[in-house]
Amino acid sequence: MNRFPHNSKYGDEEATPTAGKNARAGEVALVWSRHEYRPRDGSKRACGSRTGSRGASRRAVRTAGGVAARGGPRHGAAVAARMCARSEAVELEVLGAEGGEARVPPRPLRLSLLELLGKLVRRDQPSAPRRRTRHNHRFRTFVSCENERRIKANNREYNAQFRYANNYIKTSKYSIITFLPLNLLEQFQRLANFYFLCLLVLQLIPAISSLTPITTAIPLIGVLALTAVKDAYDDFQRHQNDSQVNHRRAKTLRNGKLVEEKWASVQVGDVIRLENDQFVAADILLLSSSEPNGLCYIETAELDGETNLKCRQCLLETAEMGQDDAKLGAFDGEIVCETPNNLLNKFEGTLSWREQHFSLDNDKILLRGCVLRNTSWCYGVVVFAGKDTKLMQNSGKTKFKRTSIDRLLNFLIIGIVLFLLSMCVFCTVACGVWEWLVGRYFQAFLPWDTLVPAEPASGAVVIALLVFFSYAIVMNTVVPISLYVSVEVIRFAQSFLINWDEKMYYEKTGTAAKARTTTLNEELGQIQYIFSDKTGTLTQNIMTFNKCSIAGVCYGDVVDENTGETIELTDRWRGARAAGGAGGGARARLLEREHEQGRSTPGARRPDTPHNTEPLDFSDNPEYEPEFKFFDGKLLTAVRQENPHVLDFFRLLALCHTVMPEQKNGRLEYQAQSPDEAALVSAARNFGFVFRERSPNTITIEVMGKTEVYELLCILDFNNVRKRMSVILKKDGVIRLYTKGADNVIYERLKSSNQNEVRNKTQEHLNKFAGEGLRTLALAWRPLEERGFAEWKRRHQAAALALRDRDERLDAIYEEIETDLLLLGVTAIEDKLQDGVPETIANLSLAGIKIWVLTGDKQETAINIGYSCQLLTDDMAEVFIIDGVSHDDVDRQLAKCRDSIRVVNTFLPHGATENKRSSASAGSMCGVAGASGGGAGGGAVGGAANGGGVVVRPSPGRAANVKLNAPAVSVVTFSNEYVSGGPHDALEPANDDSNGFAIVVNGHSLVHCLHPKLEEKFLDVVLQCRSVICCRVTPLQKAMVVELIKKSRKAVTLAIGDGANDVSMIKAAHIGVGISGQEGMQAVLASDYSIAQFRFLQRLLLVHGRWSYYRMCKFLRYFFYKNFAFTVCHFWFAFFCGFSAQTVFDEMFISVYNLFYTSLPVLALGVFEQDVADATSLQFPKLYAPGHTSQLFNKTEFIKSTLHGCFTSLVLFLIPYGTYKDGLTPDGKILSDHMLLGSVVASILIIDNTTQIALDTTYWTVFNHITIWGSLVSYFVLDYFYNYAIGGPYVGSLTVALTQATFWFTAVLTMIILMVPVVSWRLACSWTRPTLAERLRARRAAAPAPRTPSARRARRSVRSGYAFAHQEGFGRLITSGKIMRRIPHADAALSALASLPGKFHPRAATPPPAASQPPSPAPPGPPSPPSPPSPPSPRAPKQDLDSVDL
Amino acid sequence: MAEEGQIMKKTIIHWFLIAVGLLFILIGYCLMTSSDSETTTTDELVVDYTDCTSLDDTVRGKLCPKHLEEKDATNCSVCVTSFTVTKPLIGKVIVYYELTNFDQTSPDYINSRDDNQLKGNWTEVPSENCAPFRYDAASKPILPCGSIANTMFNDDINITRSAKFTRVPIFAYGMLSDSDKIGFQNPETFDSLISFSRPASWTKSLDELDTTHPDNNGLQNERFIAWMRTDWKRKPYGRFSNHGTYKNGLPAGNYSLSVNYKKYNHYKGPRKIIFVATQTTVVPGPFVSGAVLVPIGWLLIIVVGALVYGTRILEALHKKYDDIKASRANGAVANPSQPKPSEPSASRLLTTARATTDANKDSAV
Repeated sequence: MNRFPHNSKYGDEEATPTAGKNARAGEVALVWSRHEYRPRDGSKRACGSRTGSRGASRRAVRTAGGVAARGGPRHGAAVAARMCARSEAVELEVLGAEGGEARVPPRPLRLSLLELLGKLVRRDQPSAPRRRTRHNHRFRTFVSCENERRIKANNREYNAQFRYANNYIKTSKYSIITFLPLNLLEQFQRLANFYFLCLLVLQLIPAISSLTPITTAIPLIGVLALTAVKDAYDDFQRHQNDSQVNHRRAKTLRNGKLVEEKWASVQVGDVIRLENDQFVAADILLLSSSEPNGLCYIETAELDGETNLKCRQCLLETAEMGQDDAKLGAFDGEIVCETPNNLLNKFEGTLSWREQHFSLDNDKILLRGCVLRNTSWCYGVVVFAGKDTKLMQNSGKTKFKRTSIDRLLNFLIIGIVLFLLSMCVFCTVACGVWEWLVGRYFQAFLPWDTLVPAEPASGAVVIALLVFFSYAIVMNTVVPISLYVSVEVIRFAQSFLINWDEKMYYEKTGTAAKARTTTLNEELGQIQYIFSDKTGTLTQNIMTFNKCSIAGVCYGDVVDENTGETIELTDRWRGARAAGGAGGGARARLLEREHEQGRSTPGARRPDTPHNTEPLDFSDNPEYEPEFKFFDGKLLTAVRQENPHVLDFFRLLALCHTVMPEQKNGRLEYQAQSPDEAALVSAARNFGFVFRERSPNTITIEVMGKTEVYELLCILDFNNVRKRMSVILKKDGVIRLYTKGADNVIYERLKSSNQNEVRNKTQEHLNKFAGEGLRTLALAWRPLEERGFAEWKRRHQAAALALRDRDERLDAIYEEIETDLLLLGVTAIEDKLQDGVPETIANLSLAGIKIWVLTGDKQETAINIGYSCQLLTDDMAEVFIIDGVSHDDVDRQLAKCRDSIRVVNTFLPHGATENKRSSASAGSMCGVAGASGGGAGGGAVGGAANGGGVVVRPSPGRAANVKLNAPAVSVVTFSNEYVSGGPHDALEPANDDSNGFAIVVNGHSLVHCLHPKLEEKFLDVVLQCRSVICCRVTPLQKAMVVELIKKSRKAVTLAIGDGANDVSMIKAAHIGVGISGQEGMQAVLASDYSIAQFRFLQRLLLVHGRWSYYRMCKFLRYFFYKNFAFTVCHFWFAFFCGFSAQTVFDEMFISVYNLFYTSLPVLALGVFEQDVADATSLQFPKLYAPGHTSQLFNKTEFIKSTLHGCFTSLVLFLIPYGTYKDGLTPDGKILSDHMLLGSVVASILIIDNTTQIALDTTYWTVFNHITIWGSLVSYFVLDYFYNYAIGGPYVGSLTVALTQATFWFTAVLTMIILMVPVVSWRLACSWTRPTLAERLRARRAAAPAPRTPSARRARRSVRSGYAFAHQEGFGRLITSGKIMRRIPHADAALSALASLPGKFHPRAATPPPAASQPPSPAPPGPPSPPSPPSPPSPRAPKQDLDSVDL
Repeated sequence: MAEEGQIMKKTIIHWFLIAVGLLFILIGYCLMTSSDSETTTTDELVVDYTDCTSLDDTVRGKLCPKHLEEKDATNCSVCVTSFTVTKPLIGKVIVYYELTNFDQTSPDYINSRDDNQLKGNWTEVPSENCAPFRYDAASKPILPCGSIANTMFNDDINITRSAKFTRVPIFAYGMLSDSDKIGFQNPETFDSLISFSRPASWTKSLDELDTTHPDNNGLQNERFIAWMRTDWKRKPYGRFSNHGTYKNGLPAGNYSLSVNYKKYNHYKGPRKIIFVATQTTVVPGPFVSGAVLVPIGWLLIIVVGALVYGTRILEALHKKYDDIKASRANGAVANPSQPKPSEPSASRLLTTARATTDANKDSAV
């Protein structure tokens, strides 16, 4: 069995992105599940404790490594064998879970072959014999078991033989030499280009060419050249990016000396030195670092989007080497590890050094793309370099994205070509017949070509065959090459409209929206699913201490002085405030809203600034942070008045945490594992409770300038089950326990029948905070007696040393002491949403777009954000949570969800829910005001920001406003009408956002959901949910979810994100949008569009996307119409010219018809057309709906256009033909020649086209006028110019025609015949079946009425959010002293030292033999300061990345 | 902005409909006026002279086609056929000749000419388009080269009024408008004609096409131009004089046609002469008169459609208007006051339902 089968598998799949997509998702899912199942043998505990089982699995692995190390080669072999066996067992387990069917795992033959080949190659490795002599048995096991990577540190010769990728990165596609052939090859893969190439070749054959080759050559070369230039430019930029990255400097050890080298020349096996704030150059195995115990800190924002600090630790054995270059240069460890793969959180391998074997896991690996933080230097061995690094493995291949219209076009073009061929075939047959009957007698006048046999029958056949090609050439204009040019030009221009949109310009960072790809615009108008990242996309990734409630008093509300209303502030509001202005508070609100609706530029009218909306001034505190903003002066006053509750509150905040302080440039800075904690500590700091310093057993804070030192007795660290953390501190002989945690957890543990009033009030405040979408934490404390504590401490230590069920026992011990708490208060932290997120989401979902949030965050956070951005609301029937760990669990949960949905759907039929929904939305639009206006305590409106910048608590006055604002209501009737009346809505599945279900899926459950077996079920449930939130998902999973929807629903997807962890998703989706203006640019670089704020997405989709789609569809419909009208004339003419491929029109006319005469008006249409204004399309998101069903351009529309075109051509040809056949002018001049007829038809064609486009254009700009009338004029001008000045053969024909009344008569007659049906049909349609846009236009014309934005606002009563660290804090590290750079106390130093021997010989020191070892014996020590014999290997660092993948 | 477009479109439609109405009136008037004259005149008269009897001394009384076939002769000299005009042709009369089955529409044929030559730039290298009629057997360039010129029809026709034995004068110029002739220019002199060979089937030299009118000679000969401007069957032969007896058309009576019947390549089809009197109206033919019916048909359909659906549309419009008014008047009050009636029951249903299913499961276990 292969332990890492996914390596080769995934790599191959990457290489062939289109091949076997179905298989792909399945396979990857299988891989994941295998990975998932691995820990099973260690996780016998209840699956409720995720951390527990995860820890167990890691321990298991570690043990395996340890055993290998201890037992030497033989044991290593055994371990390896066991691992193999296990993975095999796991695979069987997976299969078993599928109901015991004998199902062969999906494993393409090709991959198996590749693996086999890999094994063969491995056997042939020259290094093998040496290994075999030493570890004969083991080696064989490995060969049969896996493909692995072997690296010898500092041994380039040895590593060279494996030809590992070096650190050179190449994302470019071409070099100077390969550019032309490769690019041409790529371009001719486009169907159209190839078609025109064939055509050109045909035209070069004189026997069949009825047109000069130039007519095709010029446009084709033009198109190719333009595209090539664009490609070259793009590739040039990629080259530049590559070379910039490749030329970064890395310090590499060469022969024991530190040399600066380019990144590109770093190779696998090199030892490199990294310094603080540097990017990690490759995936390296950490050898030593500046921090004690070989710790080092990294930020993985580029990789997974998480900005919190993570901790890595090297082997203590290697850490000894320090920064001794000579020692490091002589380091000759051999690393055997997994082959390159894209699993960010997993690494397996062993290091053999000095006859010892150490197991390596992810904790010892620094990945490329991370940034080293708070660590002045570190050394490491490069394990994966360049394209093998996990970062690069995770960034999928850039796919060539095409829009669905592109694909449809390709299909249609095949159809057109078939149509063309059938016309040609018809003409061929007819020509053969004609030649046989008539044509052969004409030979006397025109001898048949030498090619043609003289014998009449065969001659006719040959001529007919030649005519086939001739007609193919003549009628090629049904597939006009200018179509492609025009489409590109239109998209290009539309992209500029996006780039120049002032309303998508973010002043704060000075970033405008940017269309990075100019080929996808109209797809923006068809988005059905949006996959959004959370951190940095929906939220700003800023936690702010916003409000608090201390001893039943609420602080933090900003009260408007004039009205007594509470104001919620947003950044924009604050910014506006800062800018200053004039006006009153309540009025300002209205102005703001008005401003938001109507105008784009920041209005000149700025409301007055009530003084209490200024942030408080903390500057008298020397340690204050200028960026900290708090608006309620009451709290500061309370602090200054030394209100004991408030003091206790802040003291707790300053003491109870695991934050690390650091002096940076003379300023105190905090490093926290979670931004929540940092926000709390920094709040305390600003209010004068500065956390100064910590040592393993002391905490120093500064309260109002006075230093206080507390003795730290114990940290009861956070975990997901406990949902709280506590510290036990001693000061002046008094022992206190401070705790903070989720409110329900704390409330359960409060001292009964105490503080009842405070409790109730606080509960009220909690509800209020939660309703505002804030993340709450309850704070409490209790005094401890010395004796009781000592006794507890003893038992705690005993528990900490327990070999079995230590975590449970510890939790129980913790539970004992965390009782009888006294409530101090609650904090409310705002995970700040970006401005306008709830409104945007509401509007987008009104537009029928499903929004999925895919985040790496934990479930609680995700749900919380879901509520605050209105994805989850209280009026939902149910919010499902899928968090099963095993396949069966997930299966069961999904089945349950499905049942629930079915039940609701049965008892509430679709119609009822529909009504309910619309009335609910009506209620939520207008009713909220009424409901909460009189509500108790003046409930706040949920969500942070309104578009207007200020949200005021609803008051009766607001309700009155709403009443006056009548159109707001009529909108509801409108959408109702649309829902019931629109034919397309009826086609939609009944469950489409009809009832309020939401589902929250955990990453580890998602693994199973994406498994082919459960996929169907999962989709079944998920597609019936209005909102979907996936939490704790990996970058790859994000992409897989996107792929799943793309594949199963054939839906158009959009992925939006800001970090490197979103790159794969962005690349997978039809359209990737990056949030720009942030630190990392990875997402933006991979994206197709970049916007600065999430709220701009609304405008990008609902306005630009909609317009683009609308324009493109209109353009295409017209374009096909005009080309059919033009080309099919030749077909009609064929009946009158003996099917001889004679053209009706002048060659010149044919060449430039699409280029000059008709292209510009339709281009102007494609760029400027709009049916409704931008404000309207934002107000009525339903307008977006036609894009979902491809209503505006599909096969039916295409056939309509072409039939219309054919009809037009028939009329165009027949009427003039009838008129001019044997025609005479009244004064006896002859009108009957062919050239004259050609000119007449051409002129009428141009007139018709112009009229048609004028009818199609609803939005007239100057450009439309210029191009439409201009092209009509240009026809006559150019025709005269060409014929008279250059000397075309049709000279004079047009003059003859124009001077005769016959022409004008014919023209008018033809135009009437053509236009009357069109106009009357359109009028009839817009009267009987008006589209929403048409009705809106009509309404607009009747009564222009402004309307409030239709954001659904719903109050939220469910509390779910509590703010806390994402993972376990640094608690263990702190108390064990490992994390301390300066060890202040001798005893701490001693205890740290005491822990070292155990660390140095961990394997030898672990007494029990492997057999008796419990599955999870590994020794993450509890926070016991005097280190016991069990090796206190730090646990915290392991949490970070690892936890994501479970 | 959008409204502007809407208004614009509306006005366009209005004007369009008004224009349509006016045009129908105009067309109706034209049709009425033209129908008056139609009762008294015929439009055209076809004279088929294919089987014209030879007056040649050697083969007197023989039909020309037979003669040309049998003897492999190039010329049937003069043959005569007679015809009777029962109804006078009134108006300006154009004389056409028509060669049935003669295909001038093949692109090879149409392109077989040298526009440069025709414009008077006589170079010794004719255009390649002319092949295989570029050079004669002696490699002398042909002028005018190409297949069209080579096949120029060259029967000479004279028409005599039998009663008076007077010749009906036919002029070979004035049939084409000046614009038609733009592409055909003679050089200053015909001197350089010597270095060119004339097309093989031509009996006359280029400068002898119409010696009576110097402006109508050479490449500017209207009969030549008309031939070169390819069209369908009928080609203009000439016109009656604007003055004298035949200025108002062809009176009724007996006429005879004397033709210099030439062997025309291998053409064996019928040869016709057609007299066409020009109309004074712009409506040129029955086809177009029929086509005029189409818009009338459209109009009828629209009227019927409007009658059938119009009331419905009006009703719908009224209803919509009322809706808007109603919603303005009371919608603001009515709508938000609607509670969410089914909601609580929904969740209750859900919970009870789930409870029962759970219970079922339990009991099953």
